[in-house]
Amino acid sequence: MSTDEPPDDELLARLRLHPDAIGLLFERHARAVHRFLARRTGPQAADDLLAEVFVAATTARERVHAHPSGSALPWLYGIARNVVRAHLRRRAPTPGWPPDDHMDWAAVDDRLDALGRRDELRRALAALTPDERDVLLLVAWDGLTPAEAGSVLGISGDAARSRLARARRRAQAALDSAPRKDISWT
Amino acid sequence: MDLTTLLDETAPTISAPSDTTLRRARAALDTQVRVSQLHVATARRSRRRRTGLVALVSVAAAGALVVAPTVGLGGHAPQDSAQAAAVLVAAGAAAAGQPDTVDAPFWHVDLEFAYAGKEPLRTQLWIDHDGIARVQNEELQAEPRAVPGDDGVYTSSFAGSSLDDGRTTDWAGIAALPTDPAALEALLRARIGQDRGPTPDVELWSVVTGLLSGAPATPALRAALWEVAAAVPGVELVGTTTDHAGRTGTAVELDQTGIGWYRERLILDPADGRLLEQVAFDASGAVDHWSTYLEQGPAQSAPDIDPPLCGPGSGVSC
Repeated sequence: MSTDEPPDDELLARLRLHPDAIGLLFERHARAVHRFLARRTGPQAADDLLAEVFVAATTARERVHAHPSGSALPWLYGIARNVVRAHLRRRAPTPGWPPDDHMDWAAVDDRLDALGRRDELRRALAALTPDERDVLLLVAWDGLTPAEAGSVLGISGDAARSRLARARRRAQAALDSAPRKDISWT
Repeated sequence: MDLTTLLDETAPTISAPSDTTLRRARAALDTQVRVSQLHVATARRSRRRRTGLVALVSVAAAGALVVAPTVGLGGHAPQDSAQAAAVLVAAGAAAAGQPDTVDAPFWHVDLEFAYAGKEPLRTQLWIDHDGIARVQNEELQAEPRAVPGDDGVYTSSFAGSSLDDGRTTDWAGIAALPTDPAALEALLRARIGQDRGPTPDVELWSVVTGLLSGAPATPALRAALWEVAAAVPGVELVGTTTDHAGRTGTAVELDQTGIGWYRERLILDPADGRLLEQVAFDASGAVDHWSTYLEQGPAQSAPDIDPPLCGPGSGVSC
């Protein structure tokens, strides 16, 4: 971002009366939002959902609250999360993975198989509640700070940090326990 | 295994979205921005009545500021439906002689939209074969720009007319519509179903007028659309009148005030089947808003699109 371009929080403040400010946020963050979507739904669905996120952001602009970090990404990720949930609720759950309306695990299964890490990841995530999984992956896979993840999830930064610490403890304990042959949430 | 290592190793490696993906998403976003800006402008100017939103929604569905449902231009008492049907069927026959869309890279629509008592807003659209419209809008150009690098020519997604579930209807989709009036009406009614719009007839009228007012329809399709319009129950002939551009035409109306909408008037040129104007009257008979179609047809060129606000092609980093 060049120095003469308005920062995210200034653009967010302008949005209510100047909806075209979303255009600069799109140019700035569309790729990150696409990655967020692709991690949860696969690249093809992400292509289709990208516009939905920014269109929804435009219509929701009167309710925007900038994160203290100044970044618009936590707000955009929160909207993307809702778009993903609406998308995944139209699909059948993926066998062998936890019921989850924030992640299309079938879309990531092949990659995990190739890495030989699917069972380990399943074991670690199976020990967590859906809320704990969310905060763990927002930080580990999306690069958010715990406070930013809290903004996405609609909880305070302190609550997010606490939830993240608990998630990490429980997931690590699951990894440290004796491996089981079959992990199932069904 | 250490959890941090596991999460690092399994973190998805995602390819960047293609330029096409970004372009399509941006086009859809720009359409929403156009609509949102009109809402802001409307609120700023204290334009009256929430029902005006109907016009904005219809306009958005037609690609950007185009379609406001129409109603009468005051003055004449409506005559009977048979006469209205005859006028519309004749318009259909005349429309068959309009320029074809084949080989043209763009469909150009030049219109003015106005609320009663307000200055008209001039808008031009150039719609390409993918359904992407370049839009010029006097009001948006006049608005102080929140971001640099924008001279008022935008790309936006042309949503055709909301034939079924609001999906974009590109030129191929419009070209695939039947040109036999009975088959066209059957198809449109099937897509509309029973649940959309206040009534199926009113929704059919809205879809047909939407296509006539902003879609790259072939002359044959345009002719069929007029005939479908003639078959909508309740359409009445008003007679000869003049539009806001001073052109003389024949007016027909569909009164929807009984369901809380407008009395909508279409003014057409009987000589060539062109739609000249749509006018909306409220229940008291006062003009609420209108769209005057100054020009509509195939075009060989369109204004250049603005460079991106930042990123590749803009010279400005994001």
